[in-house]
Amino acid sequence: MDLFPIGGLTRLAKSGKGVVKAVDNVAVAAADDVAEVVGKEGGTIGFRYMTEGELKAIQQSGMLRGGNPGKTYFTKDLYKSGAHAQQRLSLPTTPTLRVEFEILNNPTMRLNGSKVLPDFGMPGNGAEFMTTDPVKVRLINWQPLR
Amino acid sequence: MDNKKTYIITTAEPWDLESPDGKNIIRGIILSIVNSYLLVFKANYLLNFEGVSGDILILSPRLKDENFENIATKEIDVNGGLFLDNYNKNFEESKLKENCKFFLIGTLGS
Repeated sequence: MDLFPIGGLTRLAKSGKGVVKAVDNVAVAAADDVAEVVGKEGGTIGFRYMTEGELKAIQQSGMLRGGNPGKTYFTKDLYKSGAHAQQRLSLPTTPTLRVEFEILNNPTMRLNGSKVLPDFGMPGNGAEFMTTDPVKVRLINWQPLR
Repeated sequence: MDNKKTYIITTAEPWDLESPDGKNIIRGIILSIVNSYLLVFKANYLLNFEGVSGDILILSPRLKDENFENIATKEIDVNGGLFLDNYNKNFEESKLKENCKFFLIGTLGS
């Protein structure tokens, strides 16, 4: 896969067909059939929906979930409301923040965009990624959720 | 099934759970496997979550194609609800699911 840094812009490119979407602060990873958004360090970009306590733990440790034991789930889905994120991702609590990050290490992914199943009265249907490895990240931004 | 065998739930969410066994660890026993997709777990201590507490967790597989068959020999990703009523082994699946509060995402293993 070739990387094309585009100073200061994020672009989403697909199959060389010219499907391009400008965002911020990323680079393009071009491949024959697969599109992927990568950060300026070349890592995968994702979102985690959380509360203030986890954001502080990430800022202190540089790791999602503060590097605590247990599997790490994240998504590439963008939700603007905490309730919507909770319902689509089947989360036990309502998140208050959407945190965008770039992965700096190379965790082995056990789930790669799997559909979240309905449970506990929530519809699911979001896409989740999961790893058993610690996830070292660079924070890109965080936004309060409605 | 060996009812005294200790099982461990390692939580992914809450990301910062603290129990007497340590960070993100809940130890306990399986009280009942209701069916391949529903299991009753009893923690070794009370768990507190958003103003409620209890030691009975109602677990279901989080991922497609996973189930509780041969649970003694594998790990399963689960969603877990804290049961809010007094547990009775004769409760049916609907009673168990409807009377719990979604509490955790984790991995059940031994």
